[in-house]
Amino acid sequence: MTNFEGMPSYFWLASSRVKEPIQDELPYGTQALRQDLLRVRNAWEECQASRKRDAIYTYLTAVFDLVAWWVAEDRALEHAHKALRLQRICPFDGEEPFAAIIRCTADPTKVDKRTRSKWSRMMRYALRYKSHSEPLDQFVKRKGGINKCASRFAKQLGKGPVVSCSRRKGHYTDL
Amino acid sequence: MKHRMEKTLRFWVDVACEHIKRDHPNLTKRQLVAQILQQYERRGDAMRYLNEHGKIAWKASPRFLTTLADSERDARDDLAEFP
Repeated sequence: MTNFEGMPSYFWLASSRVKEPIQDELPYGTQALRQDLLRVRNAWEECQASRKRDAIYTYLTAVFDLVAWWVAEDRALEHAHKALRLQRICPFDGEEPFAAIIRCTADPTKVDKRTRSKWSRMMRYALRYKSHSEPLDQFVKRKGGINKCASRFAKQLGKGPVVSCSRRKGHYTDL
Repeated sequence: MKHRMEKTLRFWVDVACEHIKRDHPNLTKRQLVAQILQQYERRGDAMRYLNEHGKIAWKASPRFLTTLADSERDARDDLAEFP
């Protein structure tokens, strides 16, 4: 049971004065976006520090959850490109949101273009077929893994199968 | 539109709401909640997500949960030091 009496005043609220005009819709500002990116980057660091086999799902889930609500708001591309600009990274032509967020949160020496593309396809597949209540890792494993999900997505688009991969030490080139 | 929140965040938002409502008698609870959520989001304590029904909702961030857990532990330790 939490003892709330002992909590510092920090939890109550930083400012008791409302300084800005009150809006009904809650805008998603630059500072909020920065915080979201920081959380995803923390998830990346966390999964890199872990020796668990499935640690990468911590990171992939963080990316997926962020982009999923952007998609629900129908502003995924806009937010993703803003995220890239915040990192002073130039968006590629047609770069979709999952790939963009991976590019600005994961270590590029460990996640190359092909892996980024594969993770992005897997997440787009999950976005389409996963129920909201099922965790991403469970869904992906149930569907045969990351490669399989990426491949299924590619097949749907009529691009044919994706090259099968194996994991290299310390890298996610071919997870 | 209603602000959907998970339990822990709702508790702290309600606490904050009680704390500041005297200073803003002209604002509705909904407006106060909106302001609090926005502040929490900016400082990284609250985050939006898709809930199990596919609706955008709010929850406490991992950082906020960690801070809460740390404070709870500190409070428990302090209490244990009393004879």
